[in-house]
Amino acid sequence: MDQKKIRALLVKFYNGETKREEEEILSQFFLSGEVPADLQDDKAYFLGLQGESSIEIPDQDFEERLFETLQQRSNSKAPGRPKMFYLRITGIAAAFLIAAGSYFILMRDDDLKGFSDQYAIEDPHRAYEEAKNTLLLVSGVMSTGQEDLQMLSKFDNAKDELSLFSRFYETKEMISK
Amino acid sequence: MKQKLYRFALRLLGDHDEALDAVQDIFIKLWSLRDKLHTYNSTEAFAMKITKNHCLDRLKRKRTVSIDENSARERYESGSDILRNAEMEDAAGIIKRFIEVLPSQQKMVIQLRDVEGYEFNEIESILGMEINTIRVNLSRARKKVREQFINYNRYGSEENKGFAGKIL
Repeated sequence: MDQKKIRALLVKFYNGETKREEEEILSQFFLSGEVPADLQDDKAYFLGLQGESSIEIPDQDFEERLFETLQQRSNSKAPGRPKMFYLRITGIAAAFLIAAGSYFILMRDDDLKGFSDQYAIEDPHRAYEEAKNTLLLVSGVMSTGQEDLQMLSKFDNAKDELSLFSRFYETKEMISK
Repeated sequence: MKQKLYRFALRLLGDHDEALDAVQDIFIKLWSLRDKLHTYNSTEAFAMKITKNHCLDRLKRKRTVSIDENSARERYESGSDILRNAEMEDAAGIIKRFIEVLPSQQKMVIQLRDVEGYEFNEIESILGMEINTIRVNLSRARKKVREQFINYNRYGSEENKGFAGKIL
């Protein structure tokens, strides 16, 4: 390689203006060829960079430990999601039940009788039947919700397990690159 | 990719165990984002960006300047300590120490460009810096490392004088 060209490239290099290909030319020159005495400091720079790029993870078990950690996290997280979802839905259903219960208790309060006159059921037996029907309706809605939830939870678990397998291999390949 | 992440983390944190922990944390984070990874143009650039943020956060939490920058600087300034360090017994080791004491931005730019060989647009997406700023930082970093090496070689202690010349 023409030393004049190398010196011109070096000026560009130290000004941060070189392209990758030009830096490759410099690197090859300093690492493989005869280097003039006045360029020895530059040679040291390229030697130093080469040393830095050859540093590797010294821990042989790193990948193994990483996959163990990922596996542990996946196992502990998979059942967590449907559980939270279930708790949330149950909470909403419970709140609805409490609201419905409070409504019927309040309806029995004489002070509120005037407020709900137009909806009041005079016959206690009929009122009891209405309340029973409403509670049965709520209970039916809730148990239907739970069936859906169970189905969702099974689906979610199966999906998680499948995606775990496929992602595991994808990630392993990505890390191994 | 894991080697690049490790070298970048090591460059920023300056400690092997911490760098390994950081890389593990980063892979766990990538794992948790696995469903979104395909939306990024380059998974590698994204991983390097996470590495940068993660390591800078760690350093901030520790309230220290990267890689014990101060102590590295002290080691450098004390001169004779450099030679006593087994790691420093070659030109690569000396250059490595000079890179370690650079300001963070210059250190990151030199690592990504000169050690890992990234293109400027990739460095731009990793560091979130404009290309011109990257070039300026790179130029300053290269010049500074070279200048320090020359000074070290010429004006080091009697013990150090000419040492770098001998080993090349």
